[in-house]
Amino acid sequence: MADFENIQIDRRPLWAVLISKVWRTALFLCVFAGLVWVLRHNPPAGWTPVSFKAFSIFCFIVFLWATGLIPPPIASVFAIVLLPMAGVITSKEAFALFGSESVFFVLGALILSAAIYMSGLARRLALLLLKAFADTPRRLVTVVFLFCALASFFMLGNGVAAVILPIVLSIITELKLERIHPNIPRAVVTAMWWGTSIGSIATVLGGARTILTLAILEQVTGKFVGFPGWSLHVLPISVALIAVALWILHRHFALPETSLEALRPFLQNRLIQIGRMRAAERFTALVLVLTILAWVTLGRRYGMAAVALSSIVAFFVFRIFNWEEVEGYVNWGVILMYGGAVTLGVALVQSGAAAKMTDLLGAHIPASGVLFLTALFAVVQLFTQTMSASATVAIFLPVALSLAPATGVLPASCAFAVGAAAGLHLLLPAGGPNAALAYSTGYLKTGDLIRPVGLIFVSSVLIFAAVAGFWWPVLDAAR
Amino acid sequence: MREDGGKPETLSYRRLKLELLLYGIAVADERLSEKILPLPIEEIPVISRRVDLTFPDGTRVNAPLEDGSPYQLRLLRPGVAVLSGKGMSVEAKSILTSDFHQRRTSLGNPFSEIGQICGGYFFLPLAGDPAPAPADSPRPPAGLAGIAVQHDLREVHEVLKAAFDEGLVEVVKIAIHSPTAFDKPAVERLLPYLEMVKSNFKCMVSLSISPPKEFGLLSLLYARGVDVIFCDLFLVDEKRSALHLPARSHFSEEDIVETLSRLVGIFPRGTVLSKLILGWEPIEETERAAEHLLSIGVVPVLSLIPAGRDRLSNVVREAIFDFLLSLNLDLDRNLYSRWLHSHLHLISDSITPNDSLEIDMREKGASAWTDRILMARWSRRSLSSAWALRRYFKVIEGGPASDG
Repeated sequence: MADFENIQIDRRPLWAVLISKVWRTALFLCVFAGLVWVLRHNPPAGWTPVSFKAFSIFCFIVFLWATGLIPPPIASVFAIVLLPMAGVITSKEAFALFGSESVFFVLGALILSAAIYMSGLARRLALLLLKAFADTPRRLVTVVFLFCALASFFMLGNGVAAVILPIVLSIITELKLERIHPNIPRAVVTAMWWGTSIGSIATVLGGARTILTLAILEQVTGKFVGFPGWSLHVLPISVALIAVALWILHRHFALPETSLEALRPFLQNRLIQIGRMRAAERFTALVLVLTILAWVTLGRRYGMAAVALSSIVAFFVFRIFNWEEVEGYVNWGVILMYGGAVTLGVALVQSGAAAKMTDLLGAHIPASGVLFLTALFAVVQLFTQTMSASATVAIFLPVALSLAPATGVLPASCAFAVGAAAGLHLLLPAGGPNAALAYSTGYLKTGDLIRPVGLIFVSSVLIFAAVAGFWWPVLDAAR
Repeated sequence: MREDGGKPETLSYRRLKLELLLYGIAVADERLSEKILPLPIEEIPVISRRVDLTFPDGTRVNAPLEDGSPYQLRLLRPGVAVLSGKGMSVEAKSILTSDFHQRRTSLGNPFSEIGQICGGYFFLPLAGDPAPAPADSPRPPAGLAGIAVQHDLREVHEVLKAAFDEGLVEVVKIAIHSPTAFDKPAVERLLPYLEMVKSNFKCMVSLSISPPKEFGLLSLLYARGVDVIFCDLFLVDEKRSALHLPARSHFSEEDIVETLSRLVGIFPRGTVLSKLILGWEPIEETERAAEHLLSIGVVPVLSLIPAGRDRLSNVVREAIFDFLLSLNLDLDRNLYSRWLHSHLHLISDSITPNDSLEIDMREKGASAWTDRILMARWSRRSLSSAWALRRYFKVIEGGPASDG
């Protein structure tokens, strides 16, 4: 029988329902008609027909990504269709970009992350850590925060949030933490939200947008950055932010030092329920460690994708998971996002539109490279609060890469700035799935978090400026 | 319609419907009795001895058979009967003069056991519990025993297809007779039939329910394709209700009105209906109840006591007839509102506000062309399409629980 709990009747007047349902289609058609009109007319002075067409299609796709009128992966596919149709690049060129190594690296990393989630390893680790260290509300918040941050180094941050949320919610309700102090549940869910967000920028495994960032960088500039390259640049930002965020959490929520005596038996019961460590968990842990080692030592020689795919093959050779299980956990849309974003980036460069954009923006961008990168980091972080992280990367990175030569910064630095900022969903409930999960608990209200959110945003920008200004030049000099 | 001498029309079909519902139809010809009734007449409860007619303007009536009626029926040819009396005669289509109810399914069950045609409705009673059918049902289902049987879906499909081939049916009315509240198991029994009808036939689906245990079920019914819904009040007076309808003692008037209010919030205007029985309580009380139902957006449907069950005296009949003629239930009279309620023309065994409205408008000389538009089948088809479109826009699957 259909589940009637899942059916809702829209009680608004029918005209209001109609408008709410058709406005997206109507707006899409209007904007698309505008694009067709623009494509059929002569370009403004200074633009070649091809570069102006590329720029117009870029603006149109950016509009689709930003508004979500159609799902971002589908908007990306539309870009791959529009560019050959408008004569910017050939159809063969557009689709050939899907055949690159980067696509398979994206695929491998996503499946690896799904495997960690499915194995139950993350849940077991969370329970063990909480049982060992969380004996007061302050320590509970610290353990939840640190676990979320560290686990997000190795699997998707949103996946970590999905693992930890049921555990923290059951702790909050079973131990009646709200009665002990109303701030405890708020602090715990904020710790989960911020921890997964900050931790997920540290490595390429933390979020699909990081993989997308590196893939666009490689396709547009030919510059390869692997697992160690990314982490060497961004891990210091993540670590510093972890320390600052933990300080803000404790200071803002002012938690009591009450003992949580009932927590340990409660967690012990949960551990008994999930039983001994299964073979799948052990195998997953082993494969994860070996994969990271291989990325660090063999990544440049054999390619990141080959390493990732070898690990995936191992899971299936030893029948740890079946394909149907994996299918459900992988965000396949990211592959399409990647295709569209890379195609657009290449089209902008090849057509000369990127150079033209650089000319136009050149007068307005900061002369200092660090200032430019910091401004880029801040702007991208603000945008990612209301847009999907992948869409934010797809919009900002091609433009930033085209501006890089004018500002004297390395293209890879632009990629680090955009990729890291796009993952920091620290400000608004709409920021990302982990923020939405935290708000869905009902313990958080936007108004209560204005001060800590403001503090963490300013801190993140300052930390980024310090790392980009002092640490990145050291790394660049060491090459 | 013509008088015997071939004079022009003097009486409206709607008024004739009132008269036939109140005074019944006499069938002198025994062969016709055999033809129109599924069993020998002495084996049929008096309550179920009824005949179904469709007049040339589309007005439908399901009238009781009464020996002393001033109106007589005779068979003209298969599918067509002639009604005469009070100095006039009129040809009417009658499903009961075809062999529909005598036919059997491929599994050997009589069509009449699966369901019956009544006006533009096909009544499909579903097994739910051993409760007797409501007093106003056109006929007791399942071999006249009053207990519905859960029929095979293919068999129901076969009968429905034959019913639609007869050309008169436009609505499938499903009824689950629950003496206790309408609940999840009842919906589980209902849904396969509902889905079968919606996916195989282009028709409206009507459902008769009792107050539910959980109001969320009402949203589910709408979402799954129920177009018109009945939750019958029948009688306002609780003592009379307990006396005449003991099976309904589980529900109070408040339960039913609460359900109706919830339904009005979910279903389109003009599709939440509630039957009131005329003649078992003072007419003023029925009128007040009807006006109250209208005020909360529910369409009252006035049903006459089935003939023979508790025969009305002529004095009472005269009083009801006068009442129905003067009935002015306050529906909007603009064309749009009348279109929204045009499906009520398909109800043949009761009086709807549309009938009283039509009588009134005809006497005030309303234009004939709007009348023809609203009686046309395509008008109701367009209404049904509008309902489907509304459902498409209004139903949100996967949302939080609705309180109905």
